[in-house]
Amino acid sequence: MSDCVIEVNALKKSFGGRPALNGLDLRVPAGSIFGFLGRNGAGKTTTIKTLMGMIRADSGAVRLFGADAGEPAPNIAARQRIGFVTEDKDLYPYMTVEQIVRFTRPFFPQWRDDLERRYLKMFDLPLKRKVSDLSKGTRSKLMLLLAICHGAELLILDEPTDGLDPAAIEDVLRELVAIAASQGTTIFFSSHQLPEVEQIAESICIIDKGRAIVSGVLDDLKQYYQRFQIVLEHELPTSMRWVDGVEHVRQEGRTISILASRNADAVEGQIASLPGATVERYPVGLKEIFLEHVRSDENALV
Amino acid sequence: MLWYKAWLETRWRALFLLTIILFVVAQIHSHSKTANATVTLLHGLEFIWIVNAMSLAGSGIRTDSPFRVLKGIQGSMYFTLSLPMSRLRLLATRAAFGLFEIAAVIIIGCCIAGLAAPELRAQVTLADAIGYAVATFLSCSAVFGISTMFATFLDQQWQIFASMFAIFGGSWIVSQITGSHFDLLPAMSTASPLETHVMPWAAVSASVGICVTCLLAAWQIEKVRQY
Repeated sequence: MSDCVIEVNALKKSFGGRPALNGLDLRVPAGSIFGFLGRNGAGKTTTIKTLMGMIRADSGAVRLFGADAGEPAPNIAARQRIGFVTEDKDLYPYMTVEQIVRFTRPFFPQWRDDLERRYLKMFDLPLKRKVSDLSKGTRSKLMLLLAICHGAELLILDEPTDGLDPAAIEDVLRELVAIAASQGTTIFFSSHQLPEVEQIAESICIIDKGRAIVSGVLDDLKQYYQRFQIVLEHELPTSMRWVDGVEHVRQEGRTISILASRNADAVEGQIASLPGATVERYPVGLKEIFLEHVRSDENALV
Repeated sequence: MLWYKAWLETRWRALFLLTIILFVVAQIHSHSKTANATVTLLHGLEFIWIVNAMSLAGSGIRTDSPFRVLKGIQGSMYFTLSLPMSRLRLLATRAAFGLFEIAAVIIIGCCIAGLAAPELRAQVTLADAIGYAVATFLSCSAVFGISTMFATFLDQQWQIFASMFAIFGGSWIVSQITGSHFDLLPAMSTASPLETHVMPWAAVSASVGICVTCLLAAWQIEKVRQY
C-alpha cells in the first residue's frame, strides 16, 4: 500500500478548450506538510476542486488514502477524513458562528469537542455573531476550526492564512505544525506567501500551466539548487552546451547567472573550465526557485 | 442538519407568502358579499400557490439567500460540497423540505381562509376543502419540480424566468398550437374539487409525473455538474 495520502497521475482538465491541468503528477506523503505553489491561474484551485470531487477530470487518476477518488462514492468516503478550507473562506452568511459549528458537527462522528473549545478560545471567535459580519480573517479562523475539529487525517487548505494579521498567521502556522506533529495529520496547502511555505512545509510542488514543474522535499531542493554568479573576461562560446542540471542561464553583458537544480559540482567544474571566469556560488531559497521557474525572462539563454 | 440549513434559508420566504395569502383572504372576505367566494379564492390564490412553489424550490443544492442577497452566498456552496455526503442527499433533502414547506403553507393558508372567511365555510364542505388542498399541493409539485430542475443549472433570476416561461409560456404555446385553451395546472383552477366536487386524478397524476421527471432530471444534471 502506498504511503501517499494524495496521488495524482497525469491529470488533465480543460474548460472550454483551455487547459487548466495538463498532465499533473503529484504525490503527498502521509503525515507531511506539503506546500502547493503556483501563480494565479496555474491550476492550484482546479487541482483542489478535483481532489474534493467538485469537478471531474478529463483524464488521469486521483487517489486519496489509497482509493480511487475520481468517482463520487469513494470521494465522499475520503471527504469524511478531510478538512477543507476554501479559497474565498465563504460560509453560510446567515448563520452565527455557534450555528455553523452545530451544523457541521453531526457530519463528522469523530468531532473533537476539546479542540472546538480550544480553537474557539484561541481564535477568539464570537459565537453569537453572524458569519456575514465577520472579517475575512475571522472567517479563515472559523473555517480552520471546522476543518481541524472533526479529526481530519488530511487538511486541504486553499490559502489558509489569507486575510489574517501577522500575529494570527504565526498562531495558525504554529498550530498547523503542532497538528501535523501530534496527530500525524497530513497538511496540503496552497499559498502565495512563500515565506510561510518555507517556514512550515516539508515538501513542495510548484505548478505552472497545469503541470508540476518542481516537486520534492524542500530541504533537498534547497540543498540541490545552487546559483552561480559568473563574471567572464571573454564572450561565452556560442556553442556552449551546459551539463545536466542547469535550469536557467541568464546573461547581462559579461555577467552570467546560472541556476542549477542538481549536479552543482559538475556545473561548477564546467564554469571553472571557462577561461578567465570568476565564479561565486550561492544557496537558493524557495522564492528564488519559484520565481526562476514561473517567470519568463527575456535575458534567459536556457 | 441539512433540514436546519434549508429552514434557515427559506423560512422568511414561506412567512412572506403566508402574509400575502392572509391579504388575499382578507380580500375574499370583503368581496364575498357580491361575488362567489370560492371562485374569488381560486383566482386569487392560484398565482400565489405557483409563486410559492417556485420560490420554495430555492437554488437546488446551492446556498439560498434567506432574505436579501448576502455576500458569500455563492462561495459557501464549496463548503457544502466539501461535506461528506452525496449530491443526491443534498438535492433530496432540499426537495423534500421544499415540498414539506409548500404543503405547510397550503394547509395553513387553507385553514386561515376557512377561519377568516365564514362565507367559505358556508359554501365549501370539509371534503372539498381537503381535496382542494391535496390537489393544489400535487399541482404545485409540478411547479416545484420544474423550478428545482432549472435551479441545477441556472442562476436564481434566470431560474425564475425559465420556470415562468415553462409554466405560463408553455401553456400559451400549446394553446396556440392546438387552438384550444390549455391549462398545465387545471387541478388548481377549472378542475379544482371546489368547482367539480371530485378529485381531478388525471390532472394531479400528470403534475406528480412532471415533478418526478423534473426531479430525476435535476438529479442527473447534479451528477455531472461541475462546480
